[in-house]
Amino acid sequence: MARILIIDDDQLVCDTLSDLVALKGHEAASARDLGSGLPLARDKAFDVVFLDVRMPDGNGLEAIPLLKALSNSPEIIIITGFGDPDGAELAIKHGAWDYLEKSATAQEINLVLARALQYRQGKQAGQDTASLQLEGLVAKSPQMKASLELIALAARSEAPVLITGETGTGKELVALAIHNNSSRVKGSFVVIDCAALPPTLAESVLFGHVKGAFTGAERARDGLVKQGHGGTIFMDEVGELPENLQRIFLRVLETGRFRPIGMSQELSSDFRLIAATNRDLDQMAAQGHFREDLLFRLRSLSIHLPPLRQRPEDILELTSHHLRKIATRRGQAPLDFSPEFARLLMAYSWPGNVRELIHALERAVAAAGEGSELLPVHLPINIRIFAARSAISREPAAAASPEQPFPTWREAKQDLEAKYLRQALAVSGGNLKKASLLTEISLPRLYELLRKHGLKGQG
Amino acid sequence: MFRANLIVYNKLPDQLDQEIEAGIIGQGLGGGLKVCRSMQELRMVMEEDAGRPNMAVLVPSDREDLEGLIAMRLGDWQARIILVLRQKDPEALARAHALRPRFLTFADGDLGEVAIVARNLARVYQNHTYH
Repeated sequence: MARILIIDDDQLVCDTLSDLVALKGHEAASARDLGSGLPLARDKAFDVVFLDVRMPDGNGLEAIPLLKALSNSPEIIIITGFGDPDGAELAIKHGAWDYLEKSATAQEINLVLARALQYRQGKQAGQDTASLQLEGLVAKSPQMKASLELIALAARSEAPVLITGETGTGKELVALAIHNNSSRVKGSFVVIDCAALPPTLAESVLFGHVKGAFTGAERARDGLVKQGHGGTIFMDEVGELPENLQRIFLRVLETGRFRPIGMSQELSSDFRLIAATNRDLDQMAAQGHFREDLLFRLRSLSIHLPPLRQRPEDILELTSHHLRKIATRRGQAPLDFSPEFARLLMAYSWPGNVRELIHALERAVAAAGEGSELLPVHLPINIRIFAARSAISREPAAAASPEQPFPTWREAKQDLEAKYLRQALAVSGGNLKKASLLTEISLPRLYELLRKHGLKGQG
Repeated sequence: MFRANLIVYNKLPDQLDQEIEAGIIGQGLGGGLKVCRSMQELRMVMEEDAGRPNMAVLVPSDREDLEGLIAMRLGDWQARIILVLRQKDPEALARAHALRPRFLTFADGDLGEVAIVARNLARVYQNHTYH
């Protein structure tokens, strides 16, 4: 028997769901607002929470992190309005297990609940996320914590996994974490980069060939599928897999058998597949560029990695983690960072995600030289400009007053330029060569700018 | 033309080395090419905080050299690795995957493939670096 909590301001929804839950032999409780629902969730360890989005005292989505942070971390099923795909997407992004429309049938509700409870049972019976070996993965945000749960689930399974997410979100690290925590850890983790392989070479690289199989095949070659025997094959950029190979690979996935080019008999390979992409495979399938049957096979388990801008809780944690790594590499103590530095990191949108953050930190450490603290001026110029522009666009009302008329774009730019130069001079101790390196402004141009603003340096 | 900051590691300045370099230059990637002849030199280049290579063609001379590369944990530097093995024994091949190479081939194979893959990697991942 499981414990289910329903938080919805609609009494009819509460009653209907309570009845359905009770019919399945579970214990149900309900609350009509967040103010009473959240304390109830804290006091009693619920397995699943049905949560409405539009509540009289707040947005249900904002309550997800609070519920997930509870010691028993219940699975959350969001109840959305009819035909609200944005709400459904938001729910998943916020770490909900699934969503249901208010118009869902009893069968649909039971199915979603059963799947959530089954997942929870597997999670509790198996490996705890705390014991996962997670090299380089940082998860403080509810979204990434939800991903960790899926990684733990995937590590216990043999099913193919599809990892999606923008460039730089750490798809390969997640694939490696699944492998390292699985029963195949003693086997190889074989990477197939579908984007790197020229189409003419792809089949031979994947499946191998016998000597003389084609012009230039002077020696036999074992393919990566064979090399992956007993281990995991990580197929990166799977959306780039040539269409003719999609068909062949689907069969290999189904049968575990493959035929090297030029060989008359088939060979077998026992591998586990993890695929990754930053492309929309559903759209590709709809356009006929990716096989739907292969997509179906790949997606036995799906893990979506949220972009860094959607999980700001992880930014400073990642920063500390990577500063420690950089320091270890350099044989030095990790650098501290100023509150302003942290503010800029938090304000930036990180289109290149974690990979871009790591590069920015490496650049900052290099720019800091012998300094003991990282300052905004040490960050790459594009990040500083972004922060400066955001700050200006956020504060137009404050700048406009009868005493201080709203500055023109030219004035604002001049002002920012002067502030930036003063900061660069301060950080470089007035040394112009150092300031030039820090700011990536050539020395002649720096002289010119300082003259323009009536500033002076040395050297 | 694609931007690539590419390093070739090969302790032995042999024919193989010249073939790889010629192929890479032939694909228009010679601009950012640097050759390292020792593990120490490779480590120094990879530890640069800015302007570090985003792609590495590694040609370990023997099993010990391969183990040295694995111990360097090149994956932490986020460089995309193309591996050219001189050894063909299954054990060395299995170990080689610890480097998570984006392409793996053998020294007695068609080294033209290395240059083509390097070009593809440079094209696909050209926007993935932030130097």
